[in-house]
Amino acid sequence: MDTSQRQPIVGLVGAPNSGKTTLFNRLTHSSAKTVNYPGSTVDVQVATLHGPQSQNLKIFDTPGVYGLAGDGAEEVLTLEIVSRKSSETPDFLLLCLDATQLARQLTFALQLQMLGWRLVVAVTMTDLARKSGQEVDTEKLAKLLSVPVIPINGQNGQGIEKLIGQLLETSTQPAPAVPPKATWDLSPQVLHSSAKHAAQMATKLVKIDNKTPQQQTLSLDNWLLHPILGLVFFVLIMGGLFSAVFWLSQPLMDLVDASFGISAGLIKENLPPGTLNDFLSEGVMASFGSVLVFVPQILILFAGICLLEDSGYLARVATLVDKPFSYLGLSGRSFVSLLAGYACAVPAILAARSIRSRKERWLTIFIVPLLSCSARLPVYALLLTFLFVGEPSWKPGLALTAIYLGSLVFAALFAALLDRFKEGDPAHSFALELPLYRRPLLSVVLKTAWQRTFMYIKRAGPVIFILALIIWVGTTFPKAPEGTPSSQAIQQSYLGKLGSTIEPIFEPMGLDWRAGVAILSAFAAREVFVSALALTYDVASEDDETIREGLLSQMQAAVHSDGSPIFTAATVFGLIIFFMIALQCTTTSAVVFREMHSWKVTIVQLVAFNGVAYILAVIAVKVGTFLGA
Amino acid sequence: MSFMKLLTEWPLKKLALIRKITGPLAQNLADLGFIEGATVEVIRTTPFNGPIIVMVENSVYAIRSEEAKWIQVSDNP
Repeated sequence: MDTSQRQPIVGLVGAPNSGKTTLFNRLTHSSAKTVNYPGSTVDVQVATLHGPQSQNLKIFDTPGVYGLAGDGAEEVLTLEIVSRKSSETPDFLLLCLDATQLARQLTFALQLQMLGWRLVVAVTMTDLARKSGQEVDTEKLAKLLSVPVIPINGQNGQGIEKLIGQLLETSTQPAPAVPPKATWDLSPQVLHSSAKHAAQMATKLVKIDNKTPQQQTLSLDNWLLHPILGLVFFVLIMGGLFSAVFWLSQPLMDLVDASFGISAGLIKENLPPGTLNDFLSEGVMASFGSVLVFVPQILILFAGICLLEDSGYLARVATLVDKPFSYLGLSGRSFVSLLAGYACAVPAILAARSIRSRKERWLTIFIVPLLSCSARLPVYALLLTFLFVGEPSWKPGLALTAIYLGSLVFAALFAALLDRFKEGDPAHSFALELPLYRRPLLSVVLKTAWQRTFMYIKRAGPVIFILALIIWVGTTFPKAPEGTPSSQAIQQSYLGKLGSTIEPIFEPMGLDWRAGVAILSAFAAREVFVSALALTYDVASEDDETIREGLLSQMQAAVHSDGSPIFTAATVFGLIIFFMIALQCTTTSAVVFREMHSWKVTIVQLVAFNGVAYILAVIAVKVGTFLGA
Repeated sequence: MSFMKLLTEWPLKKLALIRKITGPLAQNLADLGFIEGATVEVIRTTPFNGPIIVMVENSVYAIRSEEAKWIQVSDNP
């Protein structure tokens, strides 16, 4: 292989949970996420090495695998790379070995050597191993494998510089010839003997003082995996997470809301009056203000999920729910995807790659969009605040938990239904590693939560802006003569006229054209529903109230032409049902298509979810109105 | 040699020696450290007859009984 032509590449490989992603972050100063759950690296990440000679070496991070027998979608990706079938083949590999799991992970080292790979080995978790009474002889390991071995500490960065030096040195050495494929013997017997060989080797390398190194984790599991208490803790932890979304975020939300109100006021006063002033102070500020006010809630939700992942608890939850999920054709591994779905369907669908069974993966991907994602949070938050106006904050918190659980129930029903139509699949392994509990690093949790939230803002921002522009123009022009009441002016605007033609669709849901336009806008991005509503209901920030308060009072005042209120408990409940089920996210559909390679699945999913959403919403409104809500 | 039993029939919290692994998942299990000669212990069961939690050498896994039934074990000599 000629390496002088291009930048040399080192592939980072290792078992899930071996500290691989932390090491990758250390080596590259990149912000790739570190998690304590098997299978967080869903795509291969590429970066250049950090340091003075950084440009000299490219590194890619691969999904974690335990060995060459992996059969999950993401394991296949790594196996393609190490068997040199990928488009870009690394020049050599950096293998991450967890000192606490040496016996098992050495197997992979031996297997890679059988494939003719040059290796540099980084031994991670040496501090954890020492704490639990194991000492790994890295010098001896280097001799036995005849490769450079460098112990590192991912937490404080010890050994990283030495490792970078070694990587640069190895990258300049001439590559040995790769043994021809025909000589690779990867028969089960050979792979099996490598596992045995590794186990023997490990006994020579590891001094164990203490027979039960996992004592702390085991005793925590006594509580968290307990037949009854385990379930109680599960409900408490999930409930706590979702109420925190409401409680903790309140002061931050008030801050965001107030700052948008103030900015709108400043623009109004300081810019010359006219169309631009109106557009900025009313259109843009109301649009962004009404959506960005929910960013603190999204941040807290992301931080909570990240905390669960990093602590190691998520793997326990996956274990707890595996049996009940198996009745729906899913597995405990699906839960991880579904929980991520509460934040955003896109990473959740990608996370489903760690599900080894094809059928379970198919079902999981199909139902993930039913989980109430963070884009729906602004919608629920607005509607719940409307329903519980003036009541203590635990009430909407509880209602939100009910919505989140409810969306899980809908998802379960869909899964159970689909499970009947999909035939079973061949034997596959569930085996899920329960990592040691770790105290999550607060800085990592906050950084990750912020990155994900920022991604959310970055994705939603332009959509909000463009729709704000369209809706504002549509509701402002043609300009009504001075003195026309604003509700009439909007009625006669372009969008008002267009709205009345589509009104019949939304009439069964008890809504008028303005809410109808907001629902249609939500197909660009769900959260736009809130900003579109703020525009169609002409919420201008007055001095005495914030944008959110303004929107709420407009909603309370909104009436149909016969004078009956539009937003009643029944119609708001109907809206919540609609948003719980409807699939309004084009990115989600695109990712479903990419992962499933099927137009049929994508279209069936779109039609089914939106159809069911509409029908159930209409039923909810009719029943609610009948009951007098 | 003592009697071989399936891991699913082995008593809780009693160390065992893996004697034989058969079935379609043998290699997957081997990658995780389930190999002949390794010591294994079922450390707990989970609600609703869910996966069993086993410790093999130093690692802890949740595995379904459909997987565990392929693992034959005997007393630690």
